[in-house]
Amino acid sequence: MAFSKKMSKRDKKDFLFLWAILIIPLTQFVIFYVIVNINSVLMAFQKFDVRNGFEWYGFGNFIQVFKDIGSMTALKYAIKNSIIFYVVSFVINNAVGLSISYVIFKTKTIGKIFKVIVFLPSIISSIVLISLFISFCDKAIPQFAAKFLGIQDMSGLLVNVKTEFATIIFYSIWISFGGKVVLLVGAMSSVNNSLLEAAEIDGAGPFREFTSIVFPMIWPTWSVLVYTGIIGIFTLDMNMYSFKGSGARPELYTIGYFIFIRTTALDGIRYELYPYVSAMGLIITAIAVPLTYIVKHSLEKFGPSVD
Amino acid sequence: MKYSKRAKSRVSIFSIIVIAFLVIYSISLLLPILWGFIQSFKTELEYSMDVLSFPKKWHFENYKNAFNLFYTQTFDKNGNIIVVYIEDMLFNSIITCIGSALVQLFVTQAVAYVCARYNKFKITNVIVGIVIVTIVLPIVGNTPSMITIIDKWFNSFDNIWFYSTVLQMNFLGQNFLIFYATFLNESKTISEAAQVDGASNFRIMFQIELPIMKNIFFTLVLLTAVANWNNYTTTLLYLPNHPTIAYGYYRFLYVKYAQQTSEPTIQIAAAMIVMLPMLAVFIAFNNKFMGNISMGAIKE
Repeated sequence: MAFSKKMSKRDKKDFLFLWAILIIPLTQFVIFYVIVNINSVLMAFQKFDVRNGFEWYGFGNFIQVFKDIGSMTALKYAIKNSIIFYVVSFVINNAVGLSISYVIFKTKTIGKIFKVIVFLPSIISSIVLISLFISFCDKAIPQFAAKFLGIQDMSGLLVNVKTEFATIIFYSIWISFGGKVVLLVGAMSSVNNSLLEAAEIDGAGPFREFTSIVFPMIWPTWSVLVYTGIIGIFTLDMNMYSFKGSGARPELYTIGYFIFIRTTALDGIRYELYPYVSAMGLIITAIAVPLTYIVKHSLEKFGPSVD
Repeated sequence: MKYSKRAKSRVSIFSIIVIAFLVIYSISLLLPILWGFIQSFKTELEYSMDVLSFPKKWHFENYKNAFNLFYTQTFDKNGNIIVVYIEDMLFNSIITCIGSALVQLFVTQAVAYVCARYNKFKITNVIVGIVIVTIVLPIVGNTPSMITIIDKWFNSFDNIWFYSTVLQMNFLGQNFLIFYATFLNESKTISEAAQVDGASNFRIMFQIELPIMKNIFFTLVLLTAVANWNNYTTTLLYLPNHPTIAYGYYRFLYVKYAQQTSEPTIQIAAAMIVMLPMLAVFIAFNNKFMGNISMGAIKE
């Protein structure tokens, strides 16, 4: 309903009030979302010259990105590590997490203390937790192994290049695992008890109950977590900057970390890197958007029916 | 019946395994923190010799030293080096974390309110659609563009006030949906009665509708402020010369200045100092964090 002479006095008042509230947030949205993203697309086709500022560069940045995927060691590892991390965390969070969540839901074992403890990583700064984790892995665990397990000369898990990557993956999954379990238990709690009682009367075992009732009922929640998590392949850095700063070995790179260290402005804004990052972001978005919607559509089409 | 008994015993065994796993997992989450706390009272020599025992003597001065050595160096607008101490970082943290949470959630709440209450106007449906699409739509790599626009258009890169106000005046994100759903479910009886009595739209919004939401508003401000407080990467991107406590700790660990220490026990003591404010907030408001919100104003 636009502002027109046919509007009642009440409607006109409401219209003016509505726009008085919306004008600033909408302007902010237009500038810092719409224009930022349009500018990001334009920047991908530019290069930065110190004297002339941003200049048209055509597809040069995109060509460079694809060349680097084939030749740059860091980028090759970034793609590989990002996929490994996503697959491992997906399997653990879903296969293991769902099973544990179901048992907690059935036995009502989750207490407030557990919820408080798994909430702690959200309260404490990641840099603090990671610094403690690094010290623990590099000092406490080797000493424990030497003193109680007889394993001498064990190097720290984050010092040893053979265990470094796996330890960092472990941390990223371990620190968020509990929160996901609490989330899934919450989703399962909305399942109607009468359905479960009817299933028990009919002799359904736990596996049948989970696959035929509980999982289909939480499917909408679970599938949203899955397809909104697709972007994590390209954005998550496994807390690498907290572990290594900007000096991680190429073998530890993820796509998120690769982009992040090229965006930071610790020594001033590095405009010369921005067109390349924008081009890479555009390529990733072009992959992530259809992938997200394919996964979303597939989950909706082939997922279990609540009926 | 036999099958049901077998099924129950399988659940029981599995339950015991899961409960044991949960106990071990919970202990593993607490272990590095408790271990760090104990080690923070040791000398560097004692720490290097044995990290599995309690301190022979509890060196509380580690915390005093950590507090005094907790600083970093940044640049002002003219390129001069300035030293940022913990009290400056605390100020930066309060402005960027609490201040920006208040601004962002107030704006989000106001937009959600008008979208829920004035949905006779089509723009409100467009706004709700925008929020949903932006939550689901994955866009990557637009931070350089954002920094460029902040710097070139507004000349406000690394400006703590611009960051905490203008950049926070958006309504995107899941908080909008929480407010929106709550306003939709909230009865309009009181506001309609106020309207009949001649109250203006502004008066209804600020004196009736928004106060009803104060519990949810407070909880979301708390959660947002805590998340902002602990997030140092956003500060690193947008406010590199205005370190918050979390960012300051990062630089304390990785960027050493001549007077600073590499003693691990003092670094751990500094970690405990950084952790303390949020732990105190969590203990004070743990019910809010765990989702205990009461709503509504109409007494039936």
